[in-house]
Amino acid sequence: MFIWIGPKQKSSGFNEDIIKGFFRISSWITIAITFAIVASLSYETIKFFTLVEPRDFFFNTTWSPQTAFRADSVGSSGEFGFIPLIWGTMFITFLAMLIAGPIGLLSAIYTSEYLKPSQRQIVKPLLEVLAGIPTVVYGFFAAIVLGPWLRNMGVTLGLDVATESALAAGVVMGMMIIPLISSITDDVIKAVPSAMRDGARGIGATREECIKDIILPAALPGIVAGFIMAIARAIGETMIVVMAAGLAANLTANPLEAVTTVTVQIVTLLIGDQEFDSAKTLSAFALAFTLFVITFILNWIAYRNYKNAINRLKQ
Amino acid sequence: MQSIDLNNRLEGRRRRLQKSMEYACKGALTITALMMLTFFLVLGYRGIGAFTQTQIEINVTSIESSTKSTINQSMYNLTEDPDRKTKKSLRQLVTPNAYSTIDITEPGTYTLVAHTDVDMYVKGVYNKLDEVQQTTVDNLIEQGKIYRTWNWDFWTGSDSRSPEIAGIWGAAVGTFYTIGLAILFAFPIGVGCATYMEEFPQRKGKGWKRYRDFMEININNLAAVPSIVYGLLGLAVLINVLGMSRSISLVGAITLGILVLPVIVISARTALRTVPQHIRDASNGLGASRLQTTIYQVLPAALPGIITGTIIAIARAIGESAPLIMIGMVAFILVAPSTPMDPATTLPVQIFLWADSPERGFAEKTSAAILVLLVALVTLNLLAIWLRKRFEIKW
Repeated sequence: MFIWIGPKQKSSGFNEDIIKGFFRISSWITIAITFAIVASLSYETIKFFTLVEPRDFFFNTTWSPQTAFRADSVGSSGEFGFIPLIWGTMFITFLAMLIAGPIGLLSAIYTSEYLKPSQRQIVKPLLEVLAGIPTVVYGFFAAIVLGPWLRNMGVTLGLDVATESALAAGVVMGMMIIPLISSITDDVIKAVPSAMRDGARGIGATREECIKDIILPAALPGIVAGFIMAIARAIGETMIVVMAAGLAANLTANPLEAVTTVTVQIVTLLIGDQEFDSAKTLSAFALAFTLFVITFILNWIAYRNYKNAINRLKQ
Repeated sequence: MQSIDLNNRLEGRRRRLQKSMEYACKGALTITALMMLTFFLVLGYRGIGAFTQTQIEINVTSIESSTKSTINQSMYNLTEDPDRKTKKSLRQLVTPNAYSTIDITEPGTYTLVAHTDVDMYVKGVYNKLDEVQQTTVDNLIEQGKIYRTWNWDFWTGSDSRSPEIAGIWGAAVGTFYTIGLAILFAFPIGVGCATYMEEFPQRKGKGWKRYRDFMEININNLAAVPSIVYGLLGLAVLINVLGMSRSISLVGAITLGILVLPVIVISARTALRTVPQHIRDASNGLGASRLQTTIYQVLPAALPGIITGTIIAIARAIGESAPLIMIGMVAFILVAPSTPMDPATTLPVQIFLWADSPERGFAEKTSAAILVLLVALVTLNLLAIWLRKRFEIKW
């Protein structure tokens, strides 16, 4: 019995192609998902923009999607101004970063530079567990515990605090992203070559001078990338704001007042039954598409910076 | 010989920097720890009450035409000839659910679940009882006929309009179907995609490199898409285009499967990358095909890492609620779903529903459900960490 042997000879036959085909199709599925997201969101968004002018959507400062029952009554078309929503989102994100930025960064410095490896092995997994707490739990905390507490405190101080204040949502969202920031920052700081650290200590710098003048500047691009990822996460966060932030679209810079966000409006518009031809329902898809584009851009920038930063440090 | 303590020799500015940075860092970590501690203490304090239930022992002397009137009659017997208003107050001491769940056919002593207002009064949360109810309840407590027991209804019950008998079983079953199917769907595809990206660089050249770069961006972007967008994807594609029904576990499973797919791909790729090249070279050198090498050598070596990543993905999926709300899994589920095609809800969504409920009795149920969810998730996460430590292969 003779078998022809050569470079084209396969070591095994038909099954191999099936399994390889499965692997290939799996990788196509992930691409198909991206396309499905873009296609479905943009399809509904285009339908929305045939009903509402894009100019009105992006530059109007009033958001009141409630359409009247009678077509001829006042305000029958609803107002779809995107500005107050994105303002609310940015405002809550800003408050969250104000809390999480410094705390996350400093705890990362502590875990990476001060702790002994044995202590680090305990603290790091704990932070990972914290990062795994569902957002609905944080939302409950913000809405039921922190919100009323801030309100009572406002009463004793003579301040007028809304129950669903931006502050409560921002603080709790900050709590949520502390583990995210600290774990990314910790990874970046750990990637700083020890030669740099040793060099600085060798010429007489204290540990703190070494951190301030050597490690942080070297790690800065990666840290910035981590912050951008955290911002993207906060912008897309839903449950905390749905439970703790308000529904009324306010253009205010007072953290004690209620603001609403893009994600809150998406949930409010789509909860319950909906018909797919009203501007009200379709506006949710326009909002989601905008959200998708914003987070995509932020993540893309962050991911590229992060990769470059890590690669540069490792060289 | 005099020892030199460098730290005490530092002068002015340098010393201040040293101290302030150390304290700031310690402070930050302490604040994080304190925040989380308050968080758990508050939840524990608020939720612990839900694990007990208040029950009333009633003495049935006469059987009426229906269970409802039998129970009502024995409640009226607690005072001597009650007027209409008193009767109404007394009726409202037991849960309205008792009329349909308990079957009373002969006289004797029966134990009923107390109404949520009584429950909250006994637990000292709030007092909404009127005068008649309060004196009756106080009397019954003295006689030992109202007491607190372990709350089985919380574990075996489903959602209800009455907080005293509402439970998490229905939501737990829904979670099981949804997450189980999601992982069944996401795990093979995720591992397949990772294997294809890492183990089969068949073609060389620009086109292939571009494809790989595109996949890289694609996967990382998918991992960072806000979860609510996946909910809208499910709504637009699965429900609107494919015409699947709202609220069922299957739709939730597909949506969550898509959501955790990138998480699984990324962790599987990392695990595959840690398998050293010489394993592949040795296997190839013995005449194995690339696929044989992958299936018999590389994947088994990478399996602990892949499993760890999958457990973390499961934990992520269990905690997710925003996309499920979008596809209508916020239904009011009175009976636990029996198949994945039944309307269902999951534990986080149940928490969301209870937290929104105006009925004050649900407040402690919410905290208790959160405690159950957190214990489950922490267990999963610790399991993942343990697996990683235990089966990690040091090459």
